[in-house]
Amino acid sequence: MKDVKVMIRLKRVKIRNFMGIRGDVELELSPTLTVIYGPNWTGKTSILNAIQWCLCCNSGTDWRTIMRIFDENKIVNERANRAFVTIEYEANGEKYFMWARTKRGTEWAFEKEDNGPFKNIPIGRVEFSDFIIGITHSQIERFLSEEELKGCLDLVFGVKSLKEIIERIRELNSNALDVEEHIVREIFKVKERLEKLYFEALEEYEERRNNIKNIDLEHLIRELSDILDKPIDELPQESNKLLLYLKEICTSIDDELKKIRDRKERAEKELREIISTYEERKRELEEIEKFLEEAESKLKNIEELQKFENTREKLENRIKRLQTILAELDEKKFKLSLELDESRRKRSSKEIILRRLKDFRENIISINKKLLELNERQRSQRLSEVLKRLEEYNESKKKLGEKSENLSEELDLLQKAISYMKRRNLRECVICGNREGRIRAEQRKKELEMTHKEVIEELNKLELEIEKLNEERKELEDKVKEIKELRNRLEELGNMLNNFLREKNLPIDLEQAINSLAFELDQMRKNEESMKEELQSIEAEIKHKNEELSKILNNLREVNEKINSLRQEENYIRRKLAELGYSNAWSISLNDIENKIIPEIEKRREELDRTLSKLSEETKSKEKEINELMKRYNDLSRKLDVLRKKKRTLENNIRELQEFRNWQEFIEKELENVFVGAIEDILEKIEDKLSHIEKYRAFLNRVHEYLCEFAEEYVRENIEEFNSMLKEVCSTLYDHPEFREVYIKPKEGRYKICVKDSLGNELDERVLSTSCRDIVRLAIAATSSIIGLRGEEEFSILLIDEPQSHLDSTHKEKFVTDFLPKVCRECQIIIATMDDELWKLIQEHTPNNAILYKIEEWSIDEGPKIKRVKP
Amino acid sequence: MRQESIFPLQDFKAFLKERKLLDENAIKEVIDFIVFLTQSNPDKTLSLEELRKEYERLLGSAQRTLDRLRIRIEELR
Repeated sequence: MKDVKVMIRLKRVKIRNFMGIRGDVELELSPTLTVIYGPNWTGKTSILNAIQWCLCCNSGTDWRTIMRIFDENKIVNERANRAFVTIEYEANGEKYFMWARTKRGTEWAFEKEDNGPFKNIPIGRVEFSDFIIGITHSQIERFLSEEELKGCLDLVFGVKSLKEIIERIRELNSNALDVEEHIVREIFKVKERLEKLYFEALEEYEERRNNIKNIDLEHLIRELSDILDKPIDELPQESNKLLLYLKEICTSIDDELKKIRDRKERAEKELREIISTYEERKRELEEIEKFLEEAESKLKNIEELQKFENTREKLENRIKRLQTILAELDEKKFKLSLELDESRRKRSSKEIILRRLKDFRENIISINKKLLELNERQRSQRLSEVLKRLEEYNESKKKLGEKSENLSEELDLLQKAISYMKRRNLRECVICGNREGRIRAEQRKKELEMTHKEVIEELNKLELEIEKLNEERKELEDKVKEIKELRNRLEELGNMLNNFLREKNLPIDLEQAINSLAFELDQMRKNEESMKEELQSIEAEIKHKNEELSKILNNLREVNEKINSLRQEENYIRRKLAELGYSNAWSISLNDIENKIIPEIEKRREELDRTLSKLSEETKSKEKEINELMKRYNDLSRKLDVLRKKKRTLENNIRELQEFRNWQEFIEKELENVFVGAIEDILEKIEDKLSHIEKYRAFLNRVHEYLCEFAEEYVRENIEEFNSMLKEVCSTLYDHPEFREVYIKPKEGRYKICVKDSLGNELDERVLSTSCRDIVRLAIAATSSIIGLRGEEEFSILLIDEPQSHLDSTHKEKFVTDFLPKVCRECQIIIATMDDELWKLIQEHTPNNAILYKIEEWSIDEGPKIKRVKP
Repeated sequence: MRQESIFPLQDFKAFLKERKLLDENAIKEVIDFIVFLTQSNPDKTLSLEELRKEYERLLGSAQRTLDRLRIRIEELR
């Protein structure tokens, strides 16, 4: 790629929705200087960033570098989803395009395309360019760190890759050293561990040796002779024999202990039996004493039992007597009640007969009364009169009807004749031929009509009369019918009464029968009253006797209860006696109990007292025996324990002796194997391997040294040219009265900015003021751009954002009049500024081919509105 | 993908020859080494890892021998 020699200049840029730019912005770019002027927050920096971003994307710059320069969240405008930048550029007179675009939320993914030679620019250059292109205010700040200065100048002097190799070799060396140190540390640890183990083994060896020394058999034998109470000579003097001897003694003591244990167990069993007997007797005695106490009080009460039984007999006899009287009274009462009921029943039937007779009488009287009221004869006469008159009226009515019919016929004939005559207009009669016939006919007709009317009226009157008479006749006929019915009823009643009287054997005369019945009923009522009185007196007596009986029964119940309680007490005494062994207790009399059995029990109590004191003595003697046995047992146990302990000591001593011998053998064998054998071999091998690493490190050190030397020489060759260009650039920007000369000096792989004072002393740049240091950085950046881009590829662009921030009025003028003309001969410059003063100066001293833009307004929805001011 | 920076190999070779620091073979060895460094991951191919593994194996063996000894001593106690 190095052979490709192209001259690249950016011609035009189109930006859409990039950072602060909403919508589209299109700018033509000057091959020398393009200036964009506008107030704050109007999208100037966004334009510079858009150009930088598109160049970075298309050069294949590492995405980490892009990430370092741009904030991914700000690339796409807040109100849009995609950002798009297109750059039209010229290379050796040919026109090409490159573009890059991205969308929101894609996390550093972007699309790009370049159809020209820009994509062939080597990455090293572009990475360099990434820095230089981005000479914005914020990136000048990056020069503040020594590391940034080194990064920039390494690129300028072409030693970046060289230094990367040096750095890698240094890292390799460091890694190898780490490995070597690690191994040495590990070997040291192994040796330390081995040493520790060795010393521990030795210590243990010594300790065991000392322990073996402590085993003193003679002392043990002396102790044993004291314990066993035997002279030392009689005890075996060798450990194994002594052990056997001790075993035998232990066994004999064990046997004796067993015997004592058996005897003790027997004595304890006997003691338990004695104690149990004692407890039993004691319980028996307690029971007897309790019984005697109870028997004394209860027997006194039981003496009254006979008295209560006599009383009960008397009461029972009296109750029997009373019950007999009550039964007699009840019978009498029952008979009387039956008589009374019979009398009532009879009376009631007689009363019914009397009521029936009275009813008959009343009915007969009422019928007779009604008949009298109806006046039978008068009604019959009147009826015959009415019938006669009706007959007359009907006759008259018939006659009048005939007359009316005749008149109607005549009138009809006349009417026809009159109508005919009128129609014919005849005067004479058609019938009779009378000349005045028609008039006479009409007169006759009028007369006949009058007569007919009278007849009709009379007929109507007659009909009214007939109707009235018919009503009267009907009424009279009803009354006559009623009278007839009453007569029949009366007759019927008479028959019924006669039959009833005959049936009941009463006098035929109704009044007589009623009177005799009333008298009889009166007599019966009187009898019933006397019977009721008698019945009441019997009931009173029964009540009185019943009260007496209930009193006696209460007394009897009390007596029975008393008898029962006394019987229970008697039973209790008998049961207790049975429990105490008197099996005949249920059959013997109370007197026998009191006089014979109780004294017997008292005697038994005395005997029990004596038995108890004897048993208590026996218990004491047994306890004494057990205590003695226990004492002997404990003595022997202690002795046995001591002997066993001694035996164990002896056994331990023998075992330890054996172990020590084994240990001695092992330590001698194993330690020799480990030290002389495996570990030493391994360590030797490791140390052999270590020498390889040392050799490798020596080689690395040598290569590192050569490379450093080579890099320094490489830089030295180029630094003069750089400092010479820096001097030129500085002369256009920088005119410090004291520190006139600024230059770069290599120092141990790094770079140092130095200044010379008027006396020629070399000083560190820290002596400069802040603004002066910023100007120096701008100069170094511009120099870097010019020198760094003087390679085979003629592509150089310098983007400067707000350069006035470091410049006063004098230096602004210098910047415009000296710096810009000087630098834009070497590379394409795009400046963004908001400074009025600088803008005026630029307008006044515009170099040829420069293009000036002014942002007139900006809105969040539409982005900046840019006006081209010049040309 | 990021391309590697270009290393001025010929210049360096000339530098070494000019200084007469090394003989031809040693210069070749150094240049080969640098070429090797620019092309691959040196940590793996320089068998540093293998060396490290070998040491660790040997050290592990020594440690295990000591462990066995320690266990025997414990058993005998």
